[in-house]
Amino acid sequence: MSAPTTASRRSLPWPWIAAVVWALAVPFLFSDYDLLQLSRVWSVALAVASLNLLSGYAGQVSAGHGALFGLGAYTGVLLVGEGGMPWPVALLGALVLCLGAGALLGLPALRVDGLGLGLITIAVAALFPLVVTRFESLTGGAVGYALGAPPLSAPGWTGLADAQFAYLVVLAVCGVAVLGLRNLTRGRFGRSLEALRTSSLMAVSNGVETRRLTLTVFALSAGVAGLAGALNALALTLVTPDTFTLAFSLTLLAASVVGGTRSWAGAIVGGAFVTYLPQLMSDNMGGGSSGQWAQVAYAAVLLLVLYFAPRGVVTFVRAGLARLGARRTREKTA
Amino acid sequence: MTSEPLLRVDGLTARYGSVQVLHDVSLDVREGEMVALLGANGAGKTTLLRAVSRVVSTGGTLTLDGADLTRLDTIGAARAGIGHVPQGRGTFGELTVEENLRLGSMGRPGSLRGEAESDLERVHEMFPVLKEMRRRPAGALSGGQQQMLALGRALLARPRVLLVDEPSLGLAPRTTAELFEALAGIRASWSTAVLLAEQNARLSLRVADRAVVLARGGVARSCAASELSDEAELRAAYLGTTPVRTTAAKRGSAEPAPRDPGTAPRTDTDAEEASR
Amino acid sequence: MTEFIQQILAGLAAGVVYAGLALALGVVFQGTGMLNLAQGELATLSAFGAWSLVEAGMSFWLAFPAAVLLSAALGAAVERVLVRPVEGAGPMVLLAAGAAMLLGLNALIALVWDTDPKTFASPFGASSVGVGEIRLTSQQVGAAVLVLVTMGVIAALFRFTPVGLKLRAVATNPDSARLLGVRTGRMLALGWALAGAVGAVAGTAAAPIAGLSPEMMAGPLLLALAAATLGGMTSRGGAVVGGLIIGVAGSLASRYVPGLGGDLQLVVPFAVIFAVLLLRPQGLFGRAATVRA
Repeated sequence: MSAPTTASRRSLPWPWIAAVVWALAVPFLFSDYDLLQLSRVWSVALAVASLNLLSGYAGQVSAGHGALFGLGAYTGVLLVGEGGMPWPVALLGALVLCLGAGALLGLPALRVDGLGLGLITIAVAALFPLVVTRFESLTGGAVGYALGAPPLSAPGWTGLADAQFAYLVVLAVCGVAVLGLRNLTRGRFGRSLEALRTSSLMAVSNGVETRRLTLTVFALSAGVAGLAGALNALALTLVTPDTFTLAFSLTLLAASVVGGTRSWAGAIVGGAFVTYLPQLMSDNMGGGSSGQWAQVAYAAVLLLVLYFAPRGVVTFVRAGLARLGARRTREKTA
Repeated sequence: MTSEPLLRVDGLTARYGSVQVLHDVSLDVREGEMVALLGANGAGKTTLLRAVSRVVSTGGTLTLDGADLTRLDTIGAARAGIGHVPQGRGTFGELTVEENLRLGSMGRPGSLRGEAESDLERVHEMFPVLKEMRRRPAGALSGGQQQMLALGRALLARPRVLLVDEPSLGLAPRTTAELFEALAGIRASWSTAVLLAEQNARLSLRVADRAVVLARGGVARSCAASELSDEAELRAAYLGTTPVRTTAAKRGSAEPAPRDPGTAPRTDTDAEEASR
Repeated sequence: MTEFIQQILAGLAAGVVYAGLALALGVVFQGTGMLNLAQGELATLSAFGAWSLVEAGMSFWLAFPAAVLLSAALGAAVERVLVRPVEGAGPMVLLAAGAAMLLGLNALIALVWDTDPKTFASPFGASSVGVGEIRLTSQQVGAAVLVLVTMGVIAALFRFTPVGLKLRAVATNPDSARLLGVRTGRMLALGWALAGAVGAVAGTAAAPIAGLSPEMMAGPLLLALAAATLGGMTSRGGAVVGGLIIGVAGSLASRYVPGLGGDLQLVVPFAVIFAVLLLRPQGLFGRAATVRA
């Protein structure tokens, strides 16, 4: 066999292929509830991925992606419920609106280096549930807004149940969006981002250009977070303001760091972390305080990752496997 | 010559990441002596000073008055008697001139606490401008004044060895002259040894007792300052290609050595090192 | 007019708490370069600590200094144990560490003391003081005095003592401070201790009015962030002035701007942060650019 063939065979991303096959098989294996949970994983993973684009590739921090996620969620649900739009339009609407919101917030925040974006996003994160609750006539106030019929209902020709269809839509959109983000960071745009992140010299000599680039990235990141929120809400058919608190925003931040801010697989790990940790806690702790235990667990895991695997668990595990593999090879040859 | 040097650097190596910046640097500084550390940009002068004050970690031996410095961190080295006037002066821009100087005094050994006031007066005599500007924030000072402040601040800690990094950088010739005049006097009046890293070789050779020339991270030449007063010698030393003197020349001998490429290809075997 | 003055005074009384928290944020930020999102939770913890001591039968005037001292120790311990290992790891990691502490402390407080709001009896009694129709409760005045005195002590410590000088030196240029033998690590821990103490005073002062709950400092923290942004992160005096301005602005806005009452007062800090970043990013009293080595 010729060398190039071996090389290309080796470079096939087997873990990814396995994951895709598994993800596609899931709707025919699991209960509706599990599918809903998995939809949440994918959509939160997309939000985490959008945060990765911002922090891992543009070196900026947002403590308010939970609010942007929420803004997208409300936009998506209201466009369907009040506007009578089909769901693809609702998704697009959420994306565009959050893109605009990101640009608006980033404009003052990114004028100077430093904490501007962190400050403004944390304020947005704290304010968002209050504002949503206040505009009761539109948003349903504190109770939230529920859609009468599931918007992601399966067309008859597919022969799928609604829950299966909804899951596949979420999976497809999230997959395409994450792939898009990944390709974005590898192309020319990615190279300018890399320069921005690593070279402060360029930042100094070329201030306006870097600001524009950072602003673009933040707007893009906000837009994708909004899209993720809309997907999440359309799959759940429900939005409530207390889902999108400051704590949720910080949880997303935690998920991004835990998965690894420069790892797209890490975003999925982060999404699972956000979705399943509270469930794990309520299964094991029970009672009314499981939410608090989940929060303690978020904090503990986040701190542990910061200290022991600062580049995220995916990189950490990968490095560990590589070391293990190297040792095996050595033992074999010995 | 046989007594233990105050500061001893032996076989020092340092790297930034994968780049080896210093390899096998050896030099001594004796009590009350000023050694000029010469060399082109990137020769490793700053790294050597930062190694001595434990800002960068190193391999090799590093002792102050016989005590191991490598086991200390920057703070420990400072407390042990290493003073460091860093490149770029490192003044506290938001603190007043007086506060900057007071921070220097706080670092002195307990036995010298009582002399803090008179020492401050001496700094004021040396650099009157620091007294005039004592209530101004250090950041408002000119480059030369900041350099004076940094020097005065370091002296007030009463170091045993004072490291001075590129004091003339960015200064007008007149200011530089004034500064070097002050530098020339500090060995005696502050009873400290000085290791002076400076690009302006002619200036520092005028005030120093000895010179060590670094090239490409190693010692290219080590000799009495006067030996390098000859322009050609100096240039050759800078390039690190000097065919070095054949005999173990004694300190202070001003006579240029006969050139013989065959005898000593490396400068490590220079007089000072060979005597150890 | 009387009501207007009344609103301003009430705003100042509230603003003192934001000022205290903003001062704590600023001290930590200047030293460690970290926006400590958990500062509010640390203050909440102190307030609960003081409350528990009082509930256990201790006099407030013993429980209060005890809680302040414990908070200072806790602040230093947090710096040593949780922050020191990630100190040089960049703003993202530091912010995440702060977020982790916020989430963790918030939940722990709720687990220990549950989420039902508790009343913290005012140590200053229920009387009121004032001139003519302009009146403030003795709690408002007493709490304000307490925080102001604390801030005065801290300011004097920074300004006039050798330790204060070292603290400022470390904040300005840690590398140079190390070269002079200043024990920078100790100074950072001390900064956190001072921040913890001021926060504790602010929290305990706010508790009788705000009521004790795990979320009691969420709003004030945001207002303090706005205050610190307004005054300038790098200016201790600015933090105090910023806090007072935010307090007054909040008080006036909730009274005179329709629809801004109650929770929605939080629009004020958002608007302030937005405007400051747009018009004067370094804040009223801050340095134009912070170059951290």
